[in-house]
Amino acid sequence: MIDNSETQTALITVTPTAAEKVRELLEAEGNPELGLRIFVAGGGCSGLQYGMTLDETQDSDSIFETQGVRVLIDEMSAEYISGSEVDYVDSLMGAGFTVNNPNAVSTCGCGHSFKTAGDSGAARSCGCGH
Amino acid sequence: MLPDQSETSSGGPLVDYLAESSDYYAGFTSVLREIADAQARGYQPTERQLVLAVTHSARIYTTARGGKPIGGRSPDWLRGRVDGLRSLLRRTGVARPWAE
Repeated sequence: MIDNSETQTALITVTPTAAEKVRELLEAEGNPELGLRIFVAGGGCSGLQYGMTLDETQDSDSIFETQGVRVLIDEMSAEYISGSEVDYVDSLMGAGFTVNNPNAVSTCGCGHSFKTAGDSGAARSCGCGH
Repeated sequence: MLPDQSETSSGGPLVDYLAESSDYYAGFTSVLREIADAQARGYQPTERQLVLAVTHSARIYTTARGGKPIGGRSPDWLRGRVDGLRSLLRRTGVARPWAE
């Protein structure tokens, strides 16, 4: 069990809309130990991709609370996602969480793939259809 | 292309591969598609780059695997990528140099 009593400075922000949606999902799970985990992995048309899960804390996590939501980010993902804003959009294109990342120099229309200034190489298809 | 028994991240035999999720195959095939695209443009990733990519994806998968996906890519997609990258490393002969 990890001690969550000391939280860190927020690496990212969560919009009120996204926070409300996350709280809904957390309440449905009924597990007070869960938080919003955001990770970044290689791949996709723009080089890097996001993922979000409801998860318990791990040793290497940066843990902080924003808009009443406990956010968990592993150390490898933190450098790519610092300063980002998580939003929840419901549009004709579909509903879902998106990440607005100031570190991204280009993003894919799917909202899950991005590229930072430090990345190299040509853009590739992530299979999202955008 | 389905991963063979020696390409799974668990290292164990792949008995019921049809039971793997679509996210897993999306991750696995995304690696093969990206490498094929890169090679078509004349680029060949080095073993070091592949090892770094495996390490990065595997570490994040280890952290995120217990979570319930709610947006973006899922931990299963990550697992598929790890296995896809490992299969590429095997083809270069450095994934498990102690084997065979």
